[in-house]
Amino acid sequence: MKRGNDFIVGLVVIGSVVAIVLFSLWLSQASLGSKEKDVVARFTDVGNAKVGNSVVIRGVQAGRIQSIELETTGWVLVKMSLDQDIKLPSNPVVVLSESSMFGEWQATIMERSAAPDDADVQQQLAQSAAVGRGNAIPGARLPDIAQLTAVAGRIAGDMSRVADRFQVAFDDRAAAELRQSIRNFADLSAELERTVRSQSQSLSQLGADVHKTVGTINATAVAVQRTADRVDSSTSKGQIHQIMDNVGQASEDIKVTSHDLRDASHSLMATQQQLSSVLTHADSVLGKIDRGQGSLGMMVNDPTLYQNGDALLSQMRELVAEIRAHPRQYLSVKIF
Amino acid sequence: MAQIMNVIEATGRWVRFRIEEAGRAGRFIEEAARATVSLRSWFPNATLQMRRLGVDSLPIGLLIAVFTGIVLALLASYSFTGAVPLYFVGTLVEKTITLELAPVLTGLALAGRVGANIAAELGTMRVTEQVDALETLAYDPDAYLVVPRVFAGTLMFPLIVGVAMIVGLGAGWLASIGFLQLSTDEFLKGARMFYTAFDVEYGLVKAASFGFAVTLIGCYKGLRARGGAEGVGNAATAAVVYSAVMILVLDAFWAMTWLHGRS
Amino acid sequence: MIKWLDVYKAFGEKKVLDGFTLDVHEGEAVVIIGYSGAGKSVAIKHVVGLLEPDRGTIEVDDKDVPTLPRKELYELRAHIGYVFQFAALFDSMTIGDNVAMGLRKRGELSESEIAQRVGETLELVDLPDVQQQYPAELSGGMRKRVGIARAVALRPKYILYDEPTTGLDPVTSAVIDELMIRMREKLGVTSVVITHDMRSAYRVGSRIAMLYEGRVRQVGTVQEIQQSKDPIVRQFIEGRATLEDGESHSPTKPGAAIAGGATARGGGRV
Ligand SMILES: Nc1ncnc2c1ncn2[C@@H]1O[C@H](COP(=O)(O)OP(=O)(O)O)[C@@H](O)[C@H]1O
Ligand SMILES: [Mg+2]
Repeated sequence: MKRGNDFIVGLVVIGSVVAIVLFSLWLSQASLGSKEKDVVARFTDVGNAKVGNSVVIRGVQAGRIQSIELETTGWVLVKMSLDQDIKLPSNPVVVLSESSMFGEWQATIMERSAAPDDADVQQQLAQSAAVGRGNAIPGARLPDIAQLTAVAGRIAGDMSRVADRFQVAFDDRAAAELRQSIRNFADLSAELERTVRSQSQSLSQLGADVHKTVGTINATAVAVQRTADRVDSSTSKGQIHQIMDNVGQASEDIKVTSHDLRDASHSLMATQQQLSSVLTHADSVLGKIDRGQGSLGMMVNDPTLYQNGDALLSQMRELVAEIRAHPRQYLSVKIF
Repeated sequence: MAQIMNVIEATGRWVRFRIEEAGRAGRFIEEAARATVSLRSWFPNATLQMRRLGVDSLPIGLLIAVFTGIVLALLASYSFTGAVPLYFVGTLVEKTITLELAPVLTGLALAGRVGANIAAELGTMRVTEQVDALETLAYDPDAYLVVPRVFAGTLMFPLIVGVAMIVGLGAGWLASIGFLQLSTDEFLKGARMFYTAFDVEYGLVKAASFGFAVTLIGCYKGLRARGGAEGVGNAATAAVVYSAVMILVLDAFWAMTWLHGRS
Repeated sequence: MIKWLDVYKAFGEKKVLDGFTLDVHEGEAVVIIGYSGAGKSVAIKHVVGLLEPDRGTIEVDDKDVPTLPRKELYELRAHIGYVFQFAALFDSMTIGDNVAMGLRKRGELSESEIAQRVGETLELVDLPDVQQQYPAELSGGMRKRVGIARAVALRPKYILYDEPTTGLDPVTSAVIDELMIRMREKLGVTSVVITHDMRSAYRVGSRIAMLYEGRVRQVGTVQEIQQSKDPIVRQFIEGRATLEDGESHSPTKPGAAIAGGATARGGGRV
């Protein structure tokens, strides 16, 4: 009887202790059997990275962040434990970035030459490498989504400036200036595209979405630029009509773009204000045209443009209204 | 006037009783702690208590865990309709089971089962003079009766709760696959996304404190039983009520002192 | 030597012992008689430190029991056997384990010696075949005898019997009486016996003390008590409902009902 108790209790104690330990390890995805090796990297700043975040090499999960320590010298040392048989690149660097829209971060180990071609990132890597003798790998962190949002916001602001220039341009006094500003717009979208490209190496899904969006913006910009080039030399009504067609096409593109944007971004929320101001400006441009002001007032007669422009505006207003009405759908889910 | 005096007097008496009760409880804990030192006198009894209070409580703990897991998964998917990705079901199930529901629900169920069991058993021993008989045979009732039970409770509660965590998450996972058309990978992705070892650690420490409190209260109330079957019944009731309240108080205590302030 | 000196004990408002004084010398068997609820059990519980007096001293072998440090108290208890009124057997253990409890705690004997001692002791109380049974499976009288066996097994210097024969049939009562006498004569055990059964009291006791209203009303040899002139003592030993002079007497508990039979376990104190 007594012996039976001892046995059963022992069995249950050992069984549940083993089960709980295994469960915990399994949930945290620590590998049990295989040996691990540690790799240390040095950062100026680790953003939101936490102990336990994944370490990725060439897109494959290879380990976890084991500890993050602040050194007295001001650097942050991040220790990562990797599977024993993983081969590091010959000249490795570690880039920290966001891996999901919900604030989860990851560390990516990559070849130095493959690091994002971003001035800031490159500078971080260079600084870290300069201190780093010993075996600490240089590290850098990419801006998080919030920063990306800020970039988007800046570009939206630029767009509103472009809209200002449109206003001037369609006043028939500064076709050259129009061309200049559209060129700026093109530059800006290229910049946006570059930024997103550098991000998208790690921001797989989100990156792809934004990427597509930016691509569309880019294409639109090219289309607008083409239009502007024509404006430059246009005087005849027929050509203007052609231009209007192009502009119509361009706004169609922008419409698509706005769709993509809606799908892609919760960050739109932050740029909502800028969007509104873009709309206001666009509104006033269209209003001007509507009233037949300026030598391009004849565009009023072109129903396609009017309809497209109008549809675009209402589309964007709808979007803004919806964001306002359902902010939660566009907010990140940080409650956990 | 006389009525006011009566109220004041009643209040004073109530306060005195509470203070005396607290003093007795304090002395009781002190004596139990002292009795712990003589390992030889209580350790042989510990396995029996671990069996009775721990192992035999496993089924009820696991039953609760299964239903909690299922309900949590469905609840989560209901709350997440539309906007939030469905794999967050895994996150919610993992967090709530490990941090709160496995320890507290199991604790409350065991407060009933273990607390009442101990209070009734020791209460019966008290009113039938078995406790006195132990003393005349030179046994220290604290060492012989209290310590093995408290030890068994403090050790076994976390184990039951730990297993309940596993089973609860498993039930949530099966429910997600069965009712929510969530894939195993997605569920695991959600569960792992915000998992830290702290979750389990916190739940287990909480469970240990519950086990300690429930068994100690059961012993205290049982050994203080007076007056026959009714006294034993009262002791069992009081043990369950005090244990349940204590579990909630400890739950809040841990949340305020340990959980709060962690990012 | 057990010595109560001017012991007072009250439970709340209720005074139970009120200047109780009594000596029990080595080798004696003192019988305490008295109405149910008079405080006989309370008196002997003080001897093993189960109760503490409000006032007065209780000495066992010249040691003051209430002030004894824990360790010495447990040492003292190991030399005193206590037979509870309702047996107070550990109902989660077999009879054999019940009887072995004290021996195991003392740790002087090996398991096989303990088994042998348990067998002998149960034989002594006429219960040879119950070792593997649980208390709930025995009759009240059998439980009572196991209770005696549990106290006797330790071969203590003192044994306190709390109503050892109450509720037993006459033959078993006689067996128990014989046992108590043998313990005293063969092993030199000093005993205190609480009983209502005057036949048993005369047979077992070397002296008899009557507890009445919290103190000893009269103490003396069997002969002295039998020839007592005290009307209250006379009423008790003759078992009459009224005092000699015909005046109605009201004892602490009217009717002086014999406290619960051996089957009244769990009913609390009477
Ligand atoms: N632990 C206790 N708490 C309160 N009252 C008690 C306690 N023990 C005994 N009493 C009271 O003391 C009185 C004497 O009891 P007891 O000594 O058992 O009587 P008896 O002489 O029949 O053995 C009873 O009235 C009983 O109610
Ligand atoms: Mg009595």
